[in-house]
Amino acid sequence: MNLSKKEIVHIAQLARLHLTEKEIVQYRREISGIISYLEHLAEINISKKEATPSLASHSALRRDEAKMWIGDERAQTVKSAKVTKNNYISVPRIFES
Amino acid sequence: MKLNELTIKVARKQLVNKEISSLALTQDCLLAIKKLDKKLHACLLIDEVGARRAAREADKRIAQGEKGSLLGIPFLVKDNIMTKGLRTTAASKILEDYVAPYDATVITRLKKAGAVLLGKTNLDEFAHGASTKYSAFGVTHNPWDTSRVAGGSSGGSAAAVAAHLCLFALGTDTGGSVRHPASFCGVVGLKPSYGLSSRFGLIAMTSSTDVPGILAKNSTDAATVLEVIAGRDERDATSLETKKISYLPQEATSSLQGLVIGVPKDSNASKEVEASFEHMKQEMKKHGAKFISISLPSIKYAVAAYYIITPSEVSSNLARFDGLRFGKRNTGSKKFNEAYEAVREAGFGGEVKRRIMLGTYCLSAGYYDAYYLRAQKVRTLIIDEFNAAFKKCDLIMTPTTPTSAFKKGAKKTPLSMYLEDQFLIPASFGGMPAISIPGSKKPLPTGIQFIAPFLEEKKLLQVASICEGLAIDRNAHPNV
Repeated sequence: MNLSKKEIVHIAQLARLHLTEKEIVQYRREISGIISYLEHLAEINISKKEATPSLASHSALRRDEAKMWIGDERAQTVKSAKVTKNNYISVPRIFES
Repeated sequence: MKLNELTIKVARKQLVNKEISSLALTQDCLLAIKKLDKKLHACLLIDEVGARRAAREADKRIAQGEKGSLLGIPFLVKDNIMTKGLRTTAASKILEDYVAPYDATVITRLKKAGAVLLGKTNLDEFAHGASTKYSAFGVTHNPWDTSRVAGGSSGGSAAAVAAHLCLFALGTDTGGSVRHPASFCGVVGLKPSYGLSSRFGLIAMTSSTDVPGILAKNSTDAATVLEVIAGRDERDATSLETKKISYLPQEATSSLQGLVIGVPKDSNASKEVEASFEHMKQEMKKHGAKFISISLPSIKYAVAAYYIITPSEVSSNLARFDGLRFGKRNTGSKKFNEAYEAVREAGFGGEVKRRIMLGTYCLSAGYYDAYYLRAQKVRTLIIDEFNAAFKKCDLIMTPTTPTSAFKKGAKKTPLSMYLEDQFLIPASFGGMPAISIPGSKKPLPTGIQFIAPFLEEKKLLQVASICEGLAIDRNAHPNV
């Protein structure tokens, strides 16, 4: 499998990664090589098998109850954001006018 | 013997008998770190003040007659586990100044038990790797030969235990990240069953296989730590309601009578690894173990399936690193997507970007069935083969890694690095407990892995405890 430059740029865009020209060349080569190896999986007949996306055997559902943070954890968490305003996290505009 | 060289068990006895104090034990660890870590780079942060405070607190509790199994015992923690008030980086530039606002549940439990947190250890960035060469802050050197890697991704924790910088360390294991460096550094590495111990506060990599794990000087010590960190945590929905039991091996016995060990055909390990594996087999036979050959035809597909499932989960789990709520922030850009991309561009290393893109590709429109879904079915196939094998044997035994520690400068492609985990991935897929113990130690350690059925840690640790006494050069220590 040989990914095209266009495909690598598209994947990077989906992953929100900006790549330099040099990185495009490098990742195109490396990821193409890895995908070729992954294609071994096509050899196995597994049409009747179920998938195992998770090992959790019980329901993970619980009541949606708000719980208070312990001590200063809340204040510390907000502090982790570099830009805050009145105890809120300030972020760049997502929709542009 | 310096106090930092003690095992947990011996240190505990001396603490209880008031022959030593936790403060003296902690000071010896801090001294060893000061002296040796320049050569090893096992640690990313040392909290001397906090460690001394915790040690004094433990000494007070001991003076009041308290007898906890880890009370006053100093330990180190892999830097992808949240430690309140301490920088927690996952060895990534994107988190280089991030201070954890809360403790992971495993840390809360260890602190409550009176264990003394010394600091944080190095890893491959976000635990992506098998050498610590992918750490944004530099590689960890192997205590047995500093021109070689310590393995990974929990390489800092394994090197620290091998060089006696602490009495035990925590790591995380997603596809071998505790067992692999344990093998390279000649220590014990335990990956508990998925769900036995809480993942809350672990920086997520592959949520369907991540577990906190233990690096220790022997299996008894690993069992002691497991007893403290095991158990249901309501903040991790996948953690299990299990009965509280003792995992401590009985040290009086060395009999393996009645034990049936399954060994998969074709291990393709190096000669030195094969030699120590064969030696262990012969020794175990002398102690009564029986060996059968088992067929696991699909394990040759484990690495391929793993490197679809893991990057897929990574691409999703690492999407949260947007530089808004924590970590690096780009304030130069007013546009959201530009700021998001700029932070990730500057903050993530090469292997992290590779895995994110690989996962994004495998999950993208048109490829999901061919890659992700197919890999999940292969995972089921491998689990089924293991479950069938466990009907015929008690434990499965393999080499931990195909070779001993490689040179730091060894040319490895991303793919050849992935193949380091070939014996380790199946237990992660099935959530089964597995342990690596040294099979030999000189000139470089080699590791032997035992895998047990789900939640059979007690049996696993009992056998490991007997077998570690059968290893070649078992009493050798690295001379850093």
